[in-house]
Amino acid sequence: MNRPSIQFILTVTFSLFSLIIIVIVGVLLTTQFLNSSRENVSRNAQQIINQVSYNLEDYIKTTTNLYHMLHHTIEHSDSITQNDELWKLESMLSTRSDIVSMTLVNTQGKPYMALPNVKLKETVKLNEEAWFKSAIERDGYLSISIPHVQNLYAEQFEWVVSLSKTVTFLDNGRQVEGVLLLDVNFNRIQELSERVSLGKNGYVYIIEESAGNMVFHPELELVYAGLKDENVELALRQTYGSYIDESGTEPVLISIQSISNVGWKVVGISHLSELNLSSDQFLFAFLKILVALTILLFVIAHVISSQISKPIRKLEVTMRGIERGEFNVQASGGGPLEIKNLADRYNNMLSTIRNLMERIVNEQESKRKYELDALQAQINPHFLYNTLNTVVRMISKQRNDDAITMITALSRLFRISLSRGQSIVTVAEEVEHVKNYLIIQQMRFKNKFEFEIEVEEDILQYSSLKLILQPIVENALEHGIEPSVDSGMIKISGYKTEKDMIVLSISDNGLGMSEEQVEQINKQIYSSKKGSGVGLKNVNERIKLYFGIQYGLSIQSEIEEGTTVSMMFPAQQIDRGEEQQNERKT
Amino acid sequence: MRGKRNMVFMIILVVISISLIVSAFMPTEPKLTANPEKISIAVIMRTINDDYWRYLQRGADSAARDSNAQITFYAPDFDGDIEGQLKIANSVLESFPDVIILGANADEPFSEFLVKANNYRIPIIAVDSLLTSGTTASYIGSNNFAAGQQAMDEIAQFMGEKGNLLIVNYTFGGINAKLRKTGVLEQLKLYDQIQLARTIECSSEVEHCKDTIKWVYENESIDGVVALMTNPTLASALALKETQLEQSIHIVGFDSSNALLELLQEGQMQTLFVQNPFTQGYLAVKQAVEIAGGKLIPNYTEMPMTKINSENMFWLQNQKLLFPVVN
Repeated sequence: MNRPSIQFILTVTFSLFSLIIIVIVGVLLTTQFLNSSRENVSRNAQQIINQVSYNLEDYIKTTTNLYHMLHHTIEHSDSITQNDELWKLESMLSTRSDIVSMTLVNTQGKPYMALPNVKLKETVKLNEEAWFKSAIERDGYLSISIPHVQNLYAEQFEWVVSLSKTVTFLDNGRQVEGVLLLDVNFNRIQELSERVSLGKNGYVYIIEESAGNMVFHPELELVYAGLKDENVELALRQTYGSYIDESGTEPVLISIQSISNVGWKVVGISHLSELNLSSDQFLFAFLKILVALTILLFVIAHVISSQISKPIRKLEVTMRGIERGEFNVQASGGGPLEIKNLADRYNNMLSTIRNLMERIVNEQESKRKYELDALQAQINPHFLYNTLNTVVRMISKQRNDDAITMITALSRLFRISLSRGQSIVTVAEEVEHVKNYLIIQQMRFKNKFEFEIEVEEDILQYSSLKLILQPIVENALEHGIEPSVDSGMIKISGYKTEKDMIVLSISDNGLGMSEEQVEQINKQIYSSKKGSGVGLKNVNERIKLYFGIQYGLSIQSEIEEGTTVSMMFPAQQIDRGEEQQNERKT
Repeated sequence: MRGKRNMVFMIILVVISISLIVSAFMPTEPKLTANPEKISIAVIMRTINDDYWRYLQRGADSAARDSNAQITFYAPDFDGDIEGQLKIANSVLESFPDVIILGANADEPFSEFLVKANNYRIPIIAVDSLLTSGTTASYIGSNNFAAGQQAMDEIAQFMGEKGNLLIVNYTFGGINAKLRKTGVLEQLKLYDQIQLARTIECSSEVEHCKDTIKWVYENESIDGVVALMTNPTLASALALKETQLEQSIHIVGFDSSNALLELLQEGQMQTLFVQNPFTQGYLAVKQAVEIAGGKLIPNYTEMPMTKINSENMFWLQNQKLLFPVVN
């Protein structure tokens, strides 16, 4: 599994997180904005429609009022055919440019009067006209018709809206019941509906509720020819309000207002795309910003994370030097604080390693040197010379057995001394070595001393350094036994402590040393009066080198009583193979 | 170096994102930008002095407004002027409009014109009058042959399928009158008890024609009249109005005008076959825009004729057809 890098993790996490936040905030803001904009636009359109509607209501009211004025005048005039009556009515009508005609008929449909005073066509049966029937049906109430073609005057076929109501009037003293008809054209309605600003392509149309007939439309011809459609169902279903209609080729905003009394509705059409509110456009812009911000954030995240990961990578490259054995290359501490600290620690670690390595090298060198010294001391020509002399004397005195013992002991001594060049031997071998030494020395010193070896059997197989007992015994003989007048006793003991430590001690009952001497020796400043100076210091150093500083020699002595030198080192099973390999390396 | 390439890449990304932000804040052009190149349409009509063609022109104008087209109207002074119209047509061709809409005064004389237009790669849309002397991109109009047949059936019904028939034609009736007459004559063959008494050709002088027809009414026993165009219909009905005859003469005519409708209402004629010139003009321009944009248009768009009589002329649907809203 490939582990992701810091850069990758930081960049991705940062970008993703920011993206999520931007999207959430953006969506919230966008929907809020769109909603409130839509509301604003709806409200605006609605207000415009309401205004148009008020104007139309007003217009209808004034027209109706005019009608009622005419109605009143006719009902209260003595005779409608009188000239001044006619003149009165005519002047009322002349105030309006949209009045087409006024007609008065009786219940059979016979015309009594018409203004303008043009002859009505003969073929028309007025009592079958819709406006007539409606007035009769709704006796006493005003009927307002849907737009239709006027069928009163010869060769005149104008589109009008008819107002009609039953009326009673006097004609030559006789009371006649009939219907008063007022025909109005679209001029005013058109004016009112055209002065509307619902965007560049918006417009207003008026629809009649009962059957959905179009009362007015700026492109009425097209509507009548069936070439233009309006979503009339929606307009008919609602009485008021703004709605979005997406059924046509473009989404539009429909605003509706009903005109009371007439059963008409004013419908406003605004093109959403003009008002820049089609959500598609807006969403597209938002999307662009979203993408742009994401890219920017990605770049920032990338740059920031590389500030962190680059110095780390540089550090890592430097550290690879160790694999090639270069312990000297320092890491540069560039970049943020933590990286610098890391680099410093690393450099310290490197120098510590270097020191340790140096120490090891030095220690190895010391080990060798001391061993070599001990070995050299071993092959002391004086010792050999004296021993061989003694053997010669023994042979000349025909003490053959003694000679054999001595030569045997000598050969055993040297064999263990050399031990094929190894530094580690078993405790058994070391004890054997010192025993042979003692045997030789005892014979040479003409049994001036006795010796005892008491070593626990279970420590014999543990490892011990070579040539540690013999130098101590040599010391003891030289400084303790030999100067003493009495016969001496050297006792060598060895045991294992509970803590798995091996203790070997050499005690003699010779001269002993004063406290100052002991102190001196313990401070390891040992200056020997004779000999090669190997002795105690060498053994001590070697024990410390091999086993650790906490081990080594300790000396106890009392003047005239004797001296005991003890050495302590950990019990370790011997591993000859490893030791041989180590020998070959150094 | 990898680091440098990375930096260049990052800089490019930053530039892209900044340009995106800028573009998002700039107001987008509304989709309704006018094409820099407006489609140019030439409409060659039969004449200007006729309500029918005036309404057709209105319909065409309406469509042109909606569709972002530049439209120019041409017409000879009267609908019988074949030479004049041909001259106009040829000069219009040299101005290389995108599409030509043609209401031709005659069929054969335009065959060369059609070939030339084809060579110039200018599509011709025939309106009102069908052209067979050459190929046109489409034809919008009525099936006048079938209309003639229907007229024959109609008058036969009124005549009780027997009697004398008078056909009144119009000299400058052009292609449609010819087709209608052929239709009437074809259908006449089915009625063995109806005889064709006479065929009269009217000029544009309605008064003169009316007098001729009046003479025929009074001196020949006519039971039914089929008038093939507006003028003949008007003349036939007026003639009937002025004649006080005992026997009833039934008239079936074509086209409409306020005068004709008035006469229809008075009962001076029985049936009028009425076309819809406004819609024809509208559709012709709509198709012209489509074909100029490389889209396919139907070969033949049939405009049905509506049968109008005194009973149905004031139905709301027919009111809308017969009485144009005057703005």
